[in-house]
Amino acid sequence: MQKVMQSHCAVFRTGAVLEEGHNLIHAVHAGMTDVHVSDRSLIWNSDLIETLELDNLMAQAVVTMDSARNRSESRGAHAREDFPQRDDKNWMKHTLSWIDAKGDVKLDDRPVHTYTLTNDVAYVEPKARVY
Amino acid sequence: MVEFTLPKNSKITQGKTWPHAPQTAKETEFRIYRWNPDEGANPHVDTYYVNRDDCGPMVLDALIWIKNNIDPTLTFRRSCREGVCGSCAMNIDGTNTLACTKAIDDNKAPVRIYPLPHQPVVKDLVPDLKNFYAQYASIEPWLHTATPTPEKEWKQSHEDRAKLDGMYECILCACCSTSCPSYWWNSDRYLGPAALLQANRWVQDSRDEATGERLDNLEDPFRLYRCHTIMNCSKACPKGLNPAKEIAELKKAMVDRQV
Repeated sequence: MQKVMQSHCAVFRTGAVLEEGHNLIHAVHAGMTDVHVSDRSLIWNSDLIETLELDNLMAQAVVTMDSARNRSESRGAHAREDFPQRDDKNWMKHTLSWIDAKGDVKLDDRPVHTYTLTNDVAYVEPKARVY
Repeated sequence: MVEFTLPKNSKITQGKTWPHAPQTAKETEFRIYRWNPDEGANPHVDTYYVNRDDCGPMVLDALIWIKNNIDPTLTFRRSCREGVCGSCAMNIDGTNTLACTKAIDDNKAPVRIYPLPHQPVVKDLVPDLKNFYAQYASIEPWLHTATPTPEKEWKQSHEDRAKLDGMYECILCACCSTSCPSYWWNSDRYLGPAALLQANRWVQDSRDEATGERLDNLEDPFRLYRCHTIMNCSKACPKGLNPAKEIAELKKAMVDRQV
């Protein structure tokens, strides 16, 4: 999982790389059924804790990969070399994702809030990043 | 009754020898202390063979390699793997140090790894440091002031800040305290080098206004004066600090305020 995410889901990514990563990470996820815990102790069982961490990270990795593959623009730490521009018209929205036990991912989105939670601070309109 | 030998249930027995990894050009033998509280058996020393072609240079890399490739039940604390967190303090080749900053090749083979000495063992290489942390808390390691808080920061000159060099770097890994014979015999009442170094860090702090109370708190035959300048602490410190010198500074501050 670590190796796939580092090689196929780095900050600078392309559609082809993410497509390949999508296949790889789903293959890794399918292997989760073979994972077992050797240490049966209830005291300081780092084997168990790390297996639970892997279980959590695996779901995060799969939805990260699939959400990134779906978003055809560049935004922040998601730098698609095939879509170098930020696309506020189509992609000004949060990706929502669901994963089931089989590893099937469902994607949806919801709009970004255009207000703040206080009257003291005004909403800041998004603008192009210039360095 | 005085006990001259280890209690029966603490005697270390010979453990399992785990198989060699297939096809290794270079391998190093590790003898590691194992104790599982659930088994009800005595601690034992297991033998592992680490494939050095597939493993990083540090002892911690070897431990992680063993956990990944041979025996997932091997238990040890670790976090930063670069000597800033102090989690992986253990006794390696007879010296208390951090597994992450100790190179495998700097040890005699086979590399013998035990938990920090004279601490209750929770499991394998994980010692119970409750007492150690309670002693650190007892020196009240935070700024004590009587004057009103300034509008911005508590300021300090460059020279006053420089007095804290050699103390602020301490990561509380417990290598020094657990290497101190005086601490082994009196850890219930003697604070130990780590806590005393931290105590001096607050005594020397130019912004702290409770120096007198701090010294009163240490004015005790055990808490401070069980240090007999054995200097094991300074030898053990993996960060290259000198707790023995800081304890001497404390003793000096005690004398200074009387004359």
